[in-house]
Amino acid sequence: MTKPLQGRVVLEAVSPRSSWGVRLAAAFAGRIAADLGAQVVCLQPAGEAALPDTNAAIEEASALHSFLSAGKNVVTGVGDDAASTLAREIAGGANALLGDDWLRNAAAEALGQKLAAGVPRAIVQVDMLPRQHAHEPPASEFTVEAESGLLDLVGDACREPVRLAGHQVAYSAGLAAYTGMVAAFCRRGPQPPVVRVSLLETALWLNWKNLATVSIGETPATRSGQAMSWPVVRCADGWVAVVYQPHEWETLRDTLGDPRLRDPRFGTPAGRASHASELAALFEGSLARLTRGEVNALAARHRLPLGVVQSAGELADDPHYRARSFVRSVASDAGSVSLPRLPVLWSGELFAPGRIPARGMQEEETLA
Amino acid sequence: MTGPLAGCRVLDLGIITAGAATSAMLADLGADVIKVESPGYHDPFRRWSGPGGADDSPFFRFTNRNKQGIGIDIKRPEGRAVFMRLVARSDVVVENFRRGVLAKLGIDYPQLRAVRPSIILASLSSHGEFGPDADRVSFGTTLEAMSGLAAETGYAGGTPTVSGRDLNYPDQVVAIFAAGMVVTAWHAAQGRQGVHLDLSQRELTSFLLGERFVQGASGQPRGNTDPLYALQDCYTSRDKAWIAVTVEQRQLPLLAGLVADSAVGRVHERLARWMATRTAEEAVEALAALGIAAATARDGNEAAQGRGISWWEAVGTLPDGSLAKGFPFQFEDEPMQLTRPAPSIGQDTAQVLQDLGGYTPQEISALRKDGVIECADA
Repeated sequence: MTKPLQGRVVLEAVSPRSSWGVRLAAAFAGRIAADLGAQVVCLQPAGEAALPDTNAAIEEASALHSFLSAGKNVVTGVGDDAASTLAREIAGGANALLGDDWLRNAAAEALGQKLAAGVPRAIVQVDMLPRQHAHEPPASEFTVEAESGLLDLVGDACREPVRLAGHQVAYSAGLAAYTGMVAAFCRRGPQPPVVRVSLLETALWLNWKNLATVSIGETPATRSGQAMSWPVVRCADGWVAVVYQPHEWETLRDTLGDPRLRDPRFGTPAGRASHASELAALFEGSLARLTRGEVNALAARHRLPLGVVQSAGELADDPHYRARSFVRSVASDAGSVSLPRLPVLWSGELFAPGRIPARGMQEEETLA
Repeated sequence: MTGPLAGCRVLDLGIITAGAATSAMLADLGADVIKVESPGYHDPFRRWSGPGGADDSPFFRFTNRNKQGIGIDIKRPEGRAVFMRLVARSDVVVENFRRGVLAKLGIDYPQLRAVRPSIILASLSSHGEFGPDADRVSFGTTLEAMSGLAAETGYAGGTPTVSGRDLNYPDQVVAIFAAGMVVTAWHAAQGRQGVHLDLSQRELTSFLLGERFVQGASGQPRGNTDPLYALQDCYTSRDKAWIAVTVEQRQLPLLAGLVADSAVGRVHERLARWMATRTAEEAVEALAALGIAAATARDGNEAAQGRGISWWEAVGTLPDGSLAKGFPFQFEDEPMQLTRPAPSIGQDTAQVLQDLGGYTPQEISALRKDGVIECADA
């Protein structure tokens, strides 16, 4: 199958002064483009911010490189001035710039100069915050999550809010950057369209339900921990998110079989909401004797949306993911690495992630 | 319509969030999006329990702006024939029904392709089109649990945590991704070749945690820490706000100076004490002066108050002045815009059937009389 972005060239780069959020967003968008067949040249100028001197930091950086660089040509360790020159040179044959304001300033004029007129072109500029001012406050993914209201939604009411794991804000912005880039490809005009993405706008967009609630003058949601309508409780070998809709209550109640669930206080959605913590304890009591496998079987049999908690490590061997070839073994210099493939099948065809370039190596063929 | 997808026609069978929001984003990009509901099954989002009362909930209105709306009973052969006539003149169909529903209705991909070989069918589902879990009933929260995300989210050493129904994270992100895949297919095919896009929300949620698959993560909630930073957590200010703080390795000495303790291991503790003696505003300002990222954890009200001051695009204004969902990205030169409010039930049925389907007013009247289509009251 010819991949949909075959023949497109994307230059991905950010300034070494850019925050991790911008860097990860651009890299995530670049990974999608690479999987879909684009030649993605990832220019990594020298001078990245130092990581903490911990094993966790080293492992995280290595894992991020494996995940985000797969299928790309990576050029590393180029000094500031040389990086700008190189960016301009590569941009001349590129369809898209994917990065920050540094890349845009360095290479926008050169974008696609060596390409035929009328070919798709795009400039995607990612920022932490919507508009850059002279004294833009410092921001991280975490502080953006705080400003957007997303952070306030997760955790216990009486404790500090807690962030979504991983790099959800940056990667969501990466999704927006990718979609913006390919949408720009659909436009034809004398000037390449400029797509602006900020982590804050994307995070707010994700939190639209709360903004809609506020727009009609009602009270927005806030974190409620185990008192939320869908608690996470223990089972025999792990955890289960007890998810159900009002019309599924009786099925859930009868399936779990605890007569205390028949208490009239739990008979209505409002009653269940008022006694959520007590209900969560009863759920846990019923599920404690069941393994996650048994919960899965029960959920499938009774058409209940219960969700067993699975880790990334476990999912590599999950029968469903195996049937869909979702976790792929990819070769790297450090040996075989597990990577999730792009989460789309194209009339049944999957896009396997490309090889993982060695870290810190300059790609001679790219520079040539 | 103008925009990158001008000339692209989308039949939107999407309901609630995932499918409907995907189509909305295609509409924002200039596609002509026609929301198709059945007289016997309107989008459940119209009457969603929660804020805003019973009629056309704010969630529905936020999600379905920039679309036309029609009503066809596709379960009936006559309704299916009407739908297929529209398919023959369309480019994209978006759906997020339970698996198997399209086939039952006689409108699965092979049948769509038979009348429109270039059709792009975007099927958004919880677990994908096939596999042992394909028929499992799931909501966004189910998928957070089953994708690896909940296992890593939560207080360090504590209970795995989900974002819950107030966010339903997997339902939101899939709309951006699915729209991107439809646009990719549209761009690549140039109207020549159709494709069936099998989009699994569970897989996307896992993909958004990709580096943890590399690490073979066993799944332990890690609280607010991030290995890329020397320090990251929330601290309480004197005025009882939670302040999110992220400190890079190179900033540790600066922070140690600020909180008057050079012992790095104790900076976390000293920062907590320092914060407790300052207002949120004072603390954020002092940290920002050192280049340290800090922000008050805002609730929904406070986040909304930033509109027009610190953010502009995530919520937009319709021509009638009401608010609706905006855009997660924006074009600098020709910005996307909100041009029309969410359609009422059957609002555009007669017009669309006449203009696009080629039906005469008499035929439309007969279809309406027979209950095959639903039209808004004149």
